[in-house]
Amino acid sequence: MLALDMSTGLATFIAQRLAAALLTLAGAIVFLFIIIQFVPGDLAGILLGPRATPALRAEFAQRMGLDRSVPEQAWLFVSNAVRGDLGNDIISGRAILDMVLDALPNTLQLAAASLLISVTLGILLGCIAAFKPGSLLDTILGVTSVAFITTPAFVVAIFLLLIFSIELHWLPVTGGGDPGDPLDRLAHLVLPAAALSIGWIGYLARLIRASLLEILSEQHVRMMRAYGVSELRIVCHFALRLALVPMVAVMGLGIGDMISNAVFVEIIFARPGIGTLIYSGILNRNYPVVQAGILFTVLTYVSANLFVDMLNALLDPRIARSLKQAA
Amino acid sequence: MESVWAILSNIWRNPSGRIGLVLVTAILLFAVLGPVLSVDPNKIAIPDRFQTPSITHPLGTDNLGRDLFARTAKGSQSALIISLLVVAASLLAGSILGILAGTAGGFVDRGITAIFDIISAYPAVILAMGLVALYGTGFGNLLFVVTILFIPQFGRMARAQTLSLRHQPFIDAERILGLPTRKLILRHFMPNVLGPLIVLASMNIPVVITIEAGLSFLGLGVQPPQASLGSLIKDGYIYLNQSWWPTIGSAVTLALATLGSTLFGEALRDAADPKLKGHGR
Amino acid sequence: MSGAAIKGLSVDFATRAGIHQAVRHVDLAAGPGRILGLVGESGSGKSTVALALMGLLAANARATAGTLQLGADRYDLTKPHATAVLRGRRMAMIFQDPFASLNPVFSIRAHLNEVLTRRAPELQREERRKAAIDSLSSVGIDRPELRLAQYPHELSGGMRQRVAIAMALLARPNLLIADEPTTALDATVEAQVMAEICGLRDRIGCSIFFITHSLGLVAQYCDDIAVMYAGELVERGSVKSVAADPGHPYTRALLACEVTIDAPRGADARKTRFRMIPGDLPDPMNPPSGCIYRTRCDIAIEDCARIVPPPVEVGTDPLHRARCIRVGVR
Repeated sequence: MLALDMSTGLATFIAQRLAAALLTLAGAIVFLFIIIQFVPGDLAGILLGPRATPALRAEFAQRMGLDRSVPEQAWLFVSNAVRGDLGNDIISGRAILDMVLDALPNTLQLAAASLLISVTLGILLGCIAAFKPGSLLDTILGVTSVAFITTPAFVVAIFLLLIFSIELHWLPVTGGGDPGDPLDRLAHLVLPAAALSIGWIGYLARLIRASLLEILSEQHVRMMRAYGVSELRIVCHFALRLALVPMVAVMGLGIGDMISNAVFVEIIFARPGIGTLIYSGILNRNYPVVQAGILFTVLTYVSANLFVDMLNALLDPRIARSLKQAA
Repeated sequence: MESVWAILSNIWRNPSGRIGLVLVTAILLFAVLGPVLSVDPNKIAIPDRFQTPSITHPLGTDNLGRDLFARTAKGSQSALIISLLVVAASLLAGSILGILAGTAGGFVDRGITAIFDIISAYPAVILAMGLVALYGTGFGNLLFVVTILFIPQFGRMARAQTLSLRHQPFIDAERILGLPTRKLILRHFMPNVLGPLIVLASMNIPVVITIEAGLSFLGLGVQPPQASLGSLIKDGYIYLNQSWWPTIGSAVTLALATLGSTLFGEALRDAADPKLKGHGR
Repeated sequence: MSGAAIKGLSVDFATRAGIHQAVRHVDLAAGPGRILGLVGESGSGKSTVALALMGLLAANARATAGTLQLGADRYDLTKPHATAVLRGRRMAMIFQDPFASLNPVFSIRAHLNEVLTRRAPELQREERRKAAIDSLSSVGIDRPELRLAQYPHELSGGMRQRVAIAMALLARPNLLIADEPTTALDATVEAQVMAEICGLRDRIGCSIFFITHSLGLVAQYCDDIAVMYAGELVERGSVKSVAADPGHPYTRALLACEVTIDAPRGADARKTRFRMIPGDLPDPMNPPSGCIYRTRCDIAIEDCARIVPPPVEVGTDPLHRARCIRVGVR
């Protein structure tokens, strides 16, 4: 089922994509450095915020190499970042890297949960709609999916919060839940994950439906029908497998949106995570934390895109062909 | 003018396009006429706080007694103005950069493409948040920041169009006849690039509206006393326990605005060139 | 195996402009191991006949009448569910465009397995693999073990069509329908694929309905011929008999249109080398009264508008029939 038989081509492909990803990451870090340079005013003062004491300033200047040339500073910035040295938090004194690593799992859990929900439900609904196009179910799904897609995630989050937490008291209002109790954590995950997935479910369902309908009119499907394969197997096995290819490509494009929306959802539900970290950093003028948080979101985004590229190559054997020719 | 009418009637015939057109017109009217017809959106009247909808206050009042109808109308106005400005600016900047990259080639091309890639490496809102955090809030900054987010999309499309045009025989013919590059760009590349870009622009309007609303919701966008749909939702969010109305009015308006402009944008794309119906977001 | 026959097949299409009678009372037959060539120009309804047989008609199409006789069993073609059980078991089909016949994300093995699991569910995995490899070598595909793991885009058009034939081989049908299987292939590959189709017939002795617009292929490979025009069957019989003595003016015109290598050249060429049949197909919503071909016929008379021509015997072959009241007139 997976196109794993083109070893040299695949290895080259992975290497190429990895190199491109690292390059982009490096570029993003440099970009971060560059935009900081353009901030009006005293750099140390801005970045350290209102808590800048002369001692802190001196230490900061030394770490960032502010007395050296700009290219050297850039190199220092990047190498510090790569080594994981993101500085220490002014308020708590902890290493910022630790703060980020504490918050990251929460965000990843949220993202994973909503991905799981949206992919499962999206594919399911899309298949059902394509199985009986024009039926009542199909029409209902069509209308609601558009509504789901276009409503901004944070609006959905607020509505969910309003209805299920505040009015009905079914689910907890805020927070991430007791770290020791997985069931409690799960309860706290439901609404945020739902808020994040709703847009995606609508989008994927629509996409899968459109892809399936197009595929179902192609000759190879007719061929399968001519050999007596059941319609159910045709839709859910043969056609769906082919429809997954553009779906994965599209999901790659949308991951950035998902990360952005995760920020809002975390803030609205007061969940611990990278989004809340960045936001509270902004509110508290704690810019080193903001910087670190942004770096990690970029890292996540670039890795996710890399993963999607790999998945795409595995799912579509035709990509391997261009690799074989190139290799 | 005739083709505009043809496109509009095409959109009208498309059922979802019709809904989009209706919603967009409704929001436009609301945004333009609303502030004119209603009371002062900034008038504070504490005794009247948290009222439910009535004749005097069609959408109720907020926590400071301000009329929500007026504020929501003003918020829609901001949303529309900002989205139009941002889309126009990023279209312009993106097309210039894209055509430049496509025409010059080589180092310039790779440099510009790298810039696009780096900007796209950041999830949209994250980059916006970071930039606003560093450079401060304010209308100008907001416009600048959100414009940057969209430049890569327009830029890439402009570049792709330019590249495909560049290799056409009629361009070679013009070059042989001695047409300077500048005129080449103005006379041939720009008009051909603008078409698809305008369609892309119309599809991006709801995205800009959403991002601006999101930023304002976080307090990083439009600042008080200016109202944006996002900041109205934020104001209401804090007081959800006491009254739904401050949140509902602006949230529903935001949802309708994005829904309407999405449907309209898609119908416009289908009317202008059905081939563009791909798998893009 | 004792052949396949269609009797009285009619197919209607429901369009916005009205009911389009795409196929009207068509009878076809092919004995076991015999190939029937079904010819006609585009729009004659020949592909529709194939789809109706397989129950693969579009949503707006319906078979309004017709039966299929496969050996000793009779099936009602107006109920596609009745023939569904035959697909992949007693009937198989090869399609026109080899580049679109195979699912690009599934391997050749997957395609062959699909046929096998339905046809011979009792086979074990190893036996299935062996059967798949055998079928591939039977159709002349080299290194079949390698090909099994490959994907359609790694195979040429001719090879893909051979895979389609291999699938039919595995299904061991009584009736094979080949819908213009070589139209998308170039001449040398065409010959190879046709050889494989004949090989299939030799191996399992099925009847074949071979749909084509090429009289050359029919002359070379088919035993019998049926000529369709605008949804109706106008002539049928053995290839030998029809080629020697075509009864219907349309068949005569078709034969005259064929370009042969020893046709006159130079200034006379235009007159004799490239013949065309003047006029267009009749409006499907509003067919002419009487004979369907009379509007383009070179020997039509008044009666042709009044009488719907019945099948008339032609020549000495008892099965050679043409639907024309002026058979024998030039």
